[in-house]
This record gives sequence, C-alpha cells and structure tokens, in this order.
Amino acid sequence: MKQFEKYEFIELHDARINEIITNGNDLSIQFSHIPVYKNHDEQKYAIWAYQAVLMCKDVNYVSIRGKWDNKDDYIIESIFFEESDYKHFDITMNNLNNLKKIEITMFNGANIKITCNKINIVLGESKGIFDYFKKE
Amino acid sequence: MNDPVNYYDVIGLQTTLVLPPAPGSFPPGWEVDPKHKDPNGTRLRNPETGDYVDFHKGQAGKKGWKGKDHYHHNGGEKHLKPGTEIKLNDVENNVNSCENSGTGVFFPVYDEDGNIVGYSDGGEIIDPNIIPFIPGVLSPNFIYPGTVTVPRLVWP
Repeated sequence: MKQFEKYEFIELHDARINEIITNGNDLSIQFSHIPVYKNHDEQKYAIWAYQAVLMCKDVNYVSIRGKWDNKDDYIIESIFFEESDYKHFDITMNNLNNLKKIEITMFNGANIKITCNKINIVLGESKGIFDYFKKE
Repeated sequence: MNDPVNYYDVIGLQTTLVLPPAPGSFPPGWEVDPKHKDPNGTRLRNPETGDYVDFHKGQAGKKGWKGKDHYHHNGGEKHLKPGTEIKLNDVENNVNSCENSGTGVFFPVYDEDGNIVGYSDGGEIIDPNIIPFIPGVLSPNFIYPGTVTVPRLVWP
C-alpha cells in the first residue's frame, strides 16, 4: 500500500465499492476503482485508476440505505465534512486530516453516511492512467 | 432520410452514436432506465443493441469531471464529452450473447392491414428482423405459423 502517494485530489465520483468491512469501532470501504488526479503537465491532470481503502476510525454513526450491484452501480456523489460541518467534495492531501464525516450516494440512489474520529485513504495497486482532465 | 450520425435512424442502421448535449436529445430507440435515480444524471439504454450510456450533469463549482457534463458507455470508466462518437454493439452479437435465456411462446403481432410487424410473448414487441438472427431456431426464410417458440430475449 502506497499510503503517501502524491496526488492533487481524489474524486469518489465514479468510484466503485468492492466491500465495506467493520472491525470493532473501525470501518473500511474497499474500492475496486477510484479516480486519482495527478499533475501531468501545465495543461492537464492525468487521472489514475487505483484500488484503495478508505478507513474510518472510531466510528460513532453509520447508516447504509439501499443496496447496489458492484458491477453496475458506482458512486455518483460524495461529500466530506470537517468537524465544523465545512464541506469538501474531494479529498486532497491537505484536507484529509480534518475530515470527520462522509456521505456517499450511489448511482441507483443507495446512500452511505459515516461519522467518525478520523478518515484516511490508502491507495493500493494502480491500474494506470485511464483518462485526462484539462486544467481550468 | 436515414442519418444515424445526426441521431435519426428509422431503419435501424445505427452502429455509432454521437453523444448528444443532453439526454433529451437522444435518437429514437433509446430509453431512460428508471431504476437509476441519480439526481444529476440519467442512464439510457438501447434495447436493440444492448448498449447503455450514463449521463452525468456537471455540477457548478466542483473539481474534475464531476464539474463537467460527461457520459460513460457500457459501464466504462472513461469520461466522454458530448459530441464524442461511440461505437454501438451490433444487433446480431447482442441477440446471440443474451444470457439468462428461457423459453417463451411468441405470437405474431399484426398491423391493421394484416402485416406482421413483430413478435411478442405478451411483453415487448420484438422486431421481426431480429428473430432470424437467433441461431439454430429460425431461418431468414422461415414461414411463421400462428405460434412460434423461440428463446426468450432478455436484454442485458
């Protein structure tokens, strides 16, 4: 696992969940695909496909409503909250340490909400660059 | 005039599709999948070819592709801008690759003049031009009796 892999931002939009695992007070969401934006050149980001695990430590609230098909459904929306309820729509290396809450909506409307003491994301195996995004 | 490139394809020659600016501009033959409830997007399916596309409306102020209108084709991860031309499955391969097939009793469906316009097992009316593609069951020259039994077509 490349915990300190450098990236500009990670978007859960289009990410695919493989499994959700609880372990005592902790919970982890395992992603089979997650888009990771890295600087490619001055004009564009390269979007790398990674496997990843999002870890929620000391969970004090979790809600999963609906069900989804791992093959067919993916994340359409994700919102991360700081303790003050300040919202982020993506993960950066700067905001990661301050995140306490996450809300995920799947393409079919299923919904996941987790509140915890600390959120971390660990990037696993990369499947390489699958797309690019032009910088504004 | 049949013109698949400009979204108009009455005789079913469509093998490619130029992704339109929004889901409301899709050509005939594409249907909204109501099972998907994305508030910022739509899944459209083409039952004839088995293709589906997901449209994601870009959200103002969001970074990355989440902030731009884009599509995904057949569950692919690549982001496709409106205006991108995609290659559709061909109808023959789609029918031959149907999974979960069972057996259904299909009846001819006639128009007001007594012409066969399709076949149905009580549900969707299936284009008669597709029926002969089912391998080993019906041939192009088959004379359809009042009742024919063919594999049930279950669109993926």
